[in-house]
Amino acid sequence: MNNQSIAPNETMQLHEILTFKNTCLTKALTMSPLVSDEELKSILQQEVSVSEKHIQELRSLMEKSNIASLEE
Amino acid sequence: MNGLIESLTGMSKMTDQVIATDFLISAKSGVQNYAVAITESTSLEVRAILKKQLQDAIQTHEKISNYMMEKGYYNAYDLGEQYKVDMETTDTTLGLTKNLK
Repeated sequence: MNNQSIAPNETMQLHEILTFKNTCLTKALTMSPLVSDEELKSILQQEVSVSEKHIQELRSLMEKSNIASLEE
Repeated sequence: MNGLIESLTGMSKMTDQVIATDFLISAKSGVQNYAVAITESTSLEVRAILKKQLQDAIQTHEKISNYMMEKGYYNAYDLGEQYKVDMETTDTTLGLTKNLK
C-alpha cells in the first residue's frame, strides 16, 4: 500500500476533528450576533472564517480516504 | 444578548462572559484534539494540514485568553480575584435554575 494514502486510524482522527470543528463553527456563527462587545464579536467572526477553511481542508482529506468509497 | 432573553434568563450582562468562556474552553479543546490527532497521523499530507491547523488553533487560544485577561474574566496572576469571579459566576448560574422553577 502506498504510504501516502490515508490510513484508517488517520481517517478516524479526521472524523473526530471534523465533528468538533463543525460544532465550533456552528457555535461561533450563532453566538456572534448575541455578543455586545465588538472585540469579542470580531474574535468570533475571525474564528468563523478560519474554521471554514479548516473544515474544507479536513473534508477534502476525508474524501480521499477509504471510507469515502463506503458511502452508498 | 437581546433584552428579552436577558430578562428571561436573568443573565443580564453576563452573556458576553459566558460566550467568551465557552469559546475559551473550545479553543483549549481544539489545541488538545489537534495534538492528539497529529500523534496518530502517518501520512505527510494529513500531518502537514493538522500541523498548520494546530498553529491556527494555538493563535485562536492566545487571542481569546488575552481578551479574557484584559476583561478581568480570567485572572491568572490574582487567585483572590479569580475566586471572586468564580463565585459570582456560580451564583448567577445557580440563580438561573431558581428562576425557571
